[in-house]
Amino acid sequence: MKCALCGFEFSEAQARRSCQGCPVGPQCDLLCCPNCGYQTPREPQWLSRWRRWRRRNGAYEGTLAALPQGAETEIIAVRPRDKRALHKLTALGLLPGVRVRLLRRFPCYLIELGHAQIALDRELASAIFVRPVANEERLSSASDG
Amino acid sequence: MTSCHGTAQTTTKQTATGTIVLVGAPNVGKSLLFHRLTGTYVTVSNYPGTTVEIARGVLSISTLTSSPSPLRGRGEQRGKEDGGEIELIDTPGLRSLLPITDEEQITREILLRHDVALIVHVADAKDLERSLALTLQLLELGPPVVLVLNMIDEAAQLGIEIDHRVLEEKLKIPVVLTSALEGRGIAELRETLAQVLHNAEKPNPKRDFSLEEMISFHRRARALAHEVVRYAQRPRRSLAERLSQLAVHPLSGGLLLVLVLWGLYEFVGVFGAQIAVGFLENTVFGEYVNPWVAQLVQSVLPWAWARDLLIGEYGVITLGLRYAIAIILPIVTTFFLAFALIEDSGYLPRLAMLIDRLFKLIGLSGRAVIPIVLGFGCDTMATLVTRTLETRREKLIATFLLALAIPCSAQLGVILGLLAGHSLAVGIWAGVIALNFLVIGYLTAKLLPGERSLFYIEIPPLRWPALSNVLVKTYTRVQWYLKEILPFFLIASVVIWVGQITGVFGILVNALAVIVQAIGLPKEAAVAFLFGFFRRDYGAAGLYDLHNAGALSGVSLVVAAVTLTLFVPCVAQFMITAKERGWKTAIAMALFIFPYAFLMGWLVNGVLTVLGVQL
Repeated sequence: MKCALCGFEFSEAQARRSCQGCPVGPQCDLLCCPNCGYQTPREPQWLSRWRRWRRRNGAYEGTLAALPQGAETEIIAVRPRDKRALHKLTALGLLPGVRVRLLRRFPCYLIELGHAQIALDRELASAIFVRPVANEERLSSASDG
Repeated sequence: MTSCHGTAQTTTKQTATGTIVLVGAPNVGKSLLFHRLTGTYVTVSNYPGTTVEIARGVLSISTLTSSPSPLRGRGEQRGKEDGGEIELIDTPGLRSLLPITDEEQITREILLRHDVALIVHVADAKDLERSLALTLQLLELGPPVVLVLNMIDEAAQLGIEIDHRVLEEKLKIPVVLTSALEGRGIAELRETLAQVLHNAEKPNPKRDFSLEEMISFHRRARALAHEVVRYAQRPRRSLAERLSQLAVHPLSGGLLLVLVLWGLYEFVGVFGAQIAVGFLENTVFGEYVNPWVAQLVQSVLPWAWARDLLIGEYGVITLGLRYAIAIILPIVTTFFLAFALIEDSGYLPRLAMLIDRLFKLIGLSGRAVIPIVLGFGCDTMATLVTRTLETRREKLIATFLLALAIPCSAQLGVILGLLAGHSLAVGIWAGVIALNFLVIGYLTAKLLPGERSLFYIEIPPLRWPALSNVLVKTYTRVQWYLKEILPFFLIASVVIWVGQITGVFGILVNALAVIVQAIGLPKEAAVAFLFGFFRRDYGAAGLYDLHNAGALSGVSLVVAAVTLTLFVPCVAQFMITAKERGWKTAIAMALFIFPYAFLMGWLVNGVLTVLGVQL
């Protein structure tokens, strides 16, 4: 985990060590950053379970499905489960080299492509591999576009 | 040049006769442009051997007297004016020549037919980059191509400028800018079409494309678009765009949905199903048609059984025809009108997107929202529309849920009238039905084998619907619907007549009475249930009479409403289910639904009685 105050990265075991000298004792649900001492509430179990479940459901890193809302990105590969789905995505204009913006993640993935908007479910969104577009590239595309 | 498949006479033919084919992606204003070009002479028919609708019209190019040879539409009687006419076909939406759905396959087949004189590609001016890929593919097919950049008004609003002269040079085909909504550029398009009709066909047509070629078409399209399109400053988010974002937000979208459904209910359920039906049934049929026909038949037919068949209580004219014209027609017309308005505003794809996750749980995708919403109008019609779903599994689940848990507007009207004033009763009824929809859908999805369906949909901008398009759509749908449904109503009244004469009805009512009493209803309700099969709301109307006679308590009203909603669909829906999914499936569904509806009624009765609920 990462400290929200100083940005120091540490594990839960590391943070637990500092609890030994603490009068509150081990029942406390707050974790102290080993670097600055900032207290963070421990993530409840259901939240971490939910995170794991989401990941299992296909929000793989590097795909459209894992991007934050509002992100601008370039498609580098399209790999759906079958040829039919590939034809669909191609016909919609989702091809390598195309730039898209993720408008919404919930209840569906909504992407903007030029002046068109396309909604995709999680499975199709996870089949589209993307790379982030750097700030200066965004500026240049805006000026020549 | 020999081609391995396709027809032989692709290269040698007269360009003056034949067909002009309109193609383009969905939502580019193709059908509106089609109506602008053809006026009112439109016929909608199914493509041979399939269920896909194709609209045909006649394009008159008589304004151009300079045409070297008179043009004549095939099989058209009105070709006497100088200049002449040619057939114009509107096709289902197509994005690429690698077809995915049945409808796209049909469009491709039409394009490859030998009598295509000219292909008109209607493209979205706002979205040139993606549209041009299809233009490039069409150019390979052989017939001359005209590119129409439609919705130029919307593009201008967004600050998009297109240099169509440069595009013409690059593509070597005419490019026309139009706005079908405002009627701009239509005259110019007519002129261009008349000129291009005499162009020769491109030799060596190409018909099959690989995925790699598709990708290269898209690359070239992108390069071309970059050369001819200029963007002015990106405008502020428009009102429509903000409304669009509200419509897809889970919270505000949900509220909007409630609002839309309420409007739909007021227009179809109250105005159509109550006011218009009341007028047609009581005034037109009750006071004029029925007495007149009765008099006529009595004076002509001496046999009592024949008179019964035509004008008896369940006669072909007094029951079958009256139901079709006085009850179904107004409901269907108002519903189709409302549906066309919703459809043309671009709301449906947003609804599909909003509801996709929920529908995935019950084995459907967001696309199924269209038949399900239609089901609240008429389940029979909605069962027909399940054709548009992609997988067999999805079609089956949607058909089943329509048969089980979606009440049609006629039935809704009567049931809500029956429960009126008891808001708790309405709540219990709606809750039980919604729960059944979700639970049974979830279980069906678990049980049925097959792949999960993928969901993707284009979200077109929200627009004001064009009135002419809405009216033409409504008219063609009503016409087509009556053609499909009317025979079933006539057959049903013959079946009832046979049942009455042979005494089968009496036996059935007695058998049903046992079950009906078991779920805590008076035995007279059996008649209502039997008739519920012939028309859903007729069954509910029977309960209405019982209620007025004081035979039903509050609890039994809810029990009866729940049972009747879940109960076997009406005869027309059953027949269409059999036609669409096969007899085996339809009978299996009926065999499940029949006991299940009564089981649910029994359960609701038991639970309400044990809890001591007073309604």
